[in-house]
Order: sequence, then structure tokens, then C-alpha cells
Amino acid sequence: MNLPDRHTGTIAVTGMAMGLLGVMLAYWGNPENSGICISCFMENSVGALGLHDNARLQYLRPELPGFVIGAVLSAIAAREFRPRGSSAPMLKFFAGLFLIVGCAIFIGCPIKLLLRLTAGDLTAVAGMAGLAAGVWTGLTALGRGVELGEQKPEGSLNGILVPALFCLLLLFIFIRPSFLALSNEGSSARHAPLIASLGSGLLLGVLAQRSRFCITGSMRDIILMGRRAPQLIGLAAFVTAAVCASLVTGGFHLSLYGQPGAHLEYLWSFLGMGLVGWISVLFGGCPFRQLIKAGEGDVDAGLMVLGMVMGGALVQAWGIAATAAGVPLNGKMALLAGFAFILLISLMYRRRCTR
Amino acid sequence: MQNDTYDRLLWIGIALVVAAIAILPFVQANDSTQSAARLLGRANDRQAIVEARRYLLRQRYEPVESLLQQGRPQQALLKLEELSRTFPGDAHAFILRGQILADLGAPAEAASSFAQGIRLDGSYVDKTSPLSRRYAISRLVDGIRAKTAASSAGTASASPEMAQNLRYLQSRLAGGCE
Repeated sequence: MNLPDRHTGTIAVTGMAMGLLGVMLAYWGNPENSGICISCFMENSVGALGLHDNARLQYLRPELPGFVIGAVLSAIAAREFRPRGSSAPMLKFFAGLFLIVGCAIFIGCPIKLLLRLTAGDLTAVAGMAGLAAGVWTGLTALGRGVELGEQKPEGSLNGILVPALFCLLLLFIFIRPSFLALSNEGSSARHAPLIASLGSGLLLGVLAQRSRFCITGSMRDIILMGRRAPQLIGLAAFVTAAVCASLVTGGFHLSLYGQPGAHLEYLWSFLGMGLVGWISVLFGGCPFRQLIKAGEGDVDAGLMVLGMVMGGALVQAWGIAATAAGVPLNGKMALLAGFAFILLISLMYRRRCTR
Repeated sequence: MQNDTYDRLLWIGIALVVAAIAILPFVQANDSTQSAARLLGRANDRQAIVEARRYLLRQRYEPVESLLQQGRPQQALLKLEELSRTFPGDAHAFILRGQILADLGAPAEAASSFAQGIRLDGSYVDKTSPLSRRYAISRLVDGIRAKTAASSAGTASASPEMAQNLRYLQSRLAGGCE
């Protein structure tokens, strides 16, 4: 019997921790099925900073700075903090923005997609199919020569700025400046205790930096390598831990209807996650992975994170985000604009063979 | 650029997406009301907050207003001090104090109080705001300017703090971006 190597073990531990903490954070106080959701956290946090006016979605989620700072500490300890970046910065910014648009249409990032599925939310099946289709489409694009430039070392200040921004957010959590808006009602009024949120964020930041584990990256590797992909073990650990934790905490409800934070517009769920999968493969990771890479000094990921910040504000301010009532027209238009964006990138950033 | 099958597929994809963006608003005209309703709901919330604030201010400072109507400005000022201890940093209290002090003939103190209030809430100099005290503030500023202009030293004769408040109030009355 072949024992898994150390890296595979780290991936398995990361997957298990993510699945377990994803459920437990919801049990400790975060909204149902939203123990970990980067897009929801982003919308909450930018709302708290005053970037949108939805009074029900304003809370500076400690998990976000936890992820980034955990990744920074881990990268520094492993001597992997390397500021680096490539060309086309505006593409990265808008890719980050459209990542959040895709997530907002589905109501959740790829991590929440799995958390919803493992809690018995059958509406998330459409999103899962969309994410797989998006990852496959992105891989096809890469195979056909779409590339966004090679990364080169950057000046250290470039890599420090986004982690510094998240350190500032962490400081805001403790000193609570007067400009910070905090919801008294709605999903943002519900949150796990600070120590649990921040501790989980830091732990997952460290583990994800060491293992490079993320949901779309795992799907990409599984499509490419099949059963040989170590990420398969990570995904299996995630699903097993999340299902067990959901069953134990009483959060498992197998049904198509009445699921928390879910709508029944399957086509748009499919397309939303499809866009997320496609962008994630072309730009090197889902929203969570972008946060971790930003913590490693990756300037491209940092720009995507800034785009995600802008996306978090716009999906609320412009009425783009879907709710349990369905996907608004503004959301559908924004999602289609996202597809136009990624199609144009695929067309214009393609290296063609010359005969 | 050499177009192959993949390029053609991408072009078709772009054409489909553009067509969908153009058609969608007509196909789902009723759906737009859902989105619009959410945004309108927030506008209604904002309006409700404004109206509730106005109502609360009327209720809170009703004793002060009633003392003023009875012609007892000193007592009104004392009542205002009492309320300010309960609700510190309330712009409306500064504005009311400014009005009372102006009527009592203390223009420097009135200007200072008006300036503090407007720094907290600019709606008191807006022409259209229901809370507007533009006329009273403008009258005070004009009075002080006329008095200082009559003195040989002009604005320079006023204390630095008063001059600063006066210029601030003048600037806010003149409008422009905040």
C-alpha cells in the first residue's frame, strides 16, 4: 500500500479543516451554510467600510484578514514570500470584480458551493455543474494558447501593500473606528465569536498557503490528472468532514426547497459558477486562493483582491446580487458582461501557432 | 491574426452574449421591477430615516422651542445645555444655541455654535432642506461682516477663531462641493 506523501497529507488536512470549520463557523454564529464564503465576507466587509449602503450586509468579517495574514506568516516562515507580478493589471482587477459577480449570482463562492451541497442543498447541484463546466472551459482556453503573461519578481513594496491593507482591517476590527458600519439586523448581524473567526481564518490561511489547496484548483487538477491528483484527497476530506459536521450539528437538510440563501434559477446558478470556474482557471485560483496568493506577495492576486473589493461593493450598490427571491435583471446583465469580458480575453490574449 | 475554429467559437460566444444582453431587458421586463424594487426599498429606508430624525428632533427640542415662543431665551439656553448633556454632539443643539445667542446679541458665540453644527450636518445651510436655518445664519454673517467692515481694521479686528468661523460659514453659504 502506498502511503500518501507529506504534501498530499497537508492537502488532506487543509481540506478537512476547511470542511469542518466551514460548518462549525456557521454553528458558532455565522449565517447558515455560510461558515466560510469569500464573496459573502467581501460584501459584508466592504459594506462595513461604507462602500455600499445595504444596512443588512455590514460587518467586518475577521476571517478575511485571518486568511491573508495566516498566508503571510506561513509564506515568510517557509521563505516563500516573493513579490511577483505580470502584465495586464487592469484585466486582473476586472477579473476579480467579475469573480464576485459570478459568486453573487449563485449566492456564494466555490467553498460555500461545497458547504451548501454537503448540507443537503440540492439547488447547489446546478452551481457545481456550472463550476465544473467553467473549469473545463478555462482549461480548454489554456490548452488553446490563452495566456496572460509570465510572472516576474517585483519590488517588495508591491507585494506588501495588500497584506498591509488586511492588517489595517484587522486593526479596525479591534479599535472599531467610528466610520465602521455594523449591521444590527440581517445576515451580517450574525457572526461567530471573534476569536473563533480570526483563529479559523489564520489556521486556514497557513494551511492553504502550505498546501495550495483551493476548490477550483482541485477541480482543475482532477480534470487534468484524474485519480492521480492529490487534490482529490483534499476534496474528499472536505466533503467528508463537512457532511459529518453538518449531520452532527443538525445542519443537514436534504432538499431542493427552503434552503438558506438559495434560489431556484438553476440556469443562472450554472452560469454564475461557470463564470467563476472559467476566470479562476485563467487567473490562477478562486476568490479564496487569490487571498492566499496575495498573502504570498503575488501582485496579480493582490489586484484581483482589489477587484473583488470593488465587486463586493457594486453587487450590492447596483442591485446585482441574487437573493432567495431570484436573480435580478441587473445581475443577469452583469453576468453576461462578465462572459463577454472573459471571451474577449480568450480571443485577444491567445498565442496562435503560425504555420 | 489567423482565425481557427476556436477563434470562431469565441466570436460566436461573444455575439451570443451581446445579443442576450440586448434582448434580456425586453424579455424579462417584469423582472426588472424586482431589482428596481430592492433599490427603491433602500431609497424608502433612507427617506424614512430622514423623516424619523426630523420627528425625533422636533420631539426632543420641543421644550426649548416652547420656551423661545414664550420669550424666555435664557431658560431656553439652560434647557438646551441640559439636553446637550444627554445627547452630546447633536448638530441641532448647536444650531439652536446659535440662533438663541444671535438673538441675545452674542454674534461671535453664535457664529461658533452655527459653525460647529454645520460641520456636523451641512443640511442646515441647504436651501431646500426642511431643517434649513440658512436665513438666520446668513443674517448673522451679514451682520458681523457689516460691523467689522465699519471698523477701521475690518475682519482682521475679529478674533482669529471668530474670523475662521465667519469664513467657514461664508464658504458654506456660498455653496460648492463639500
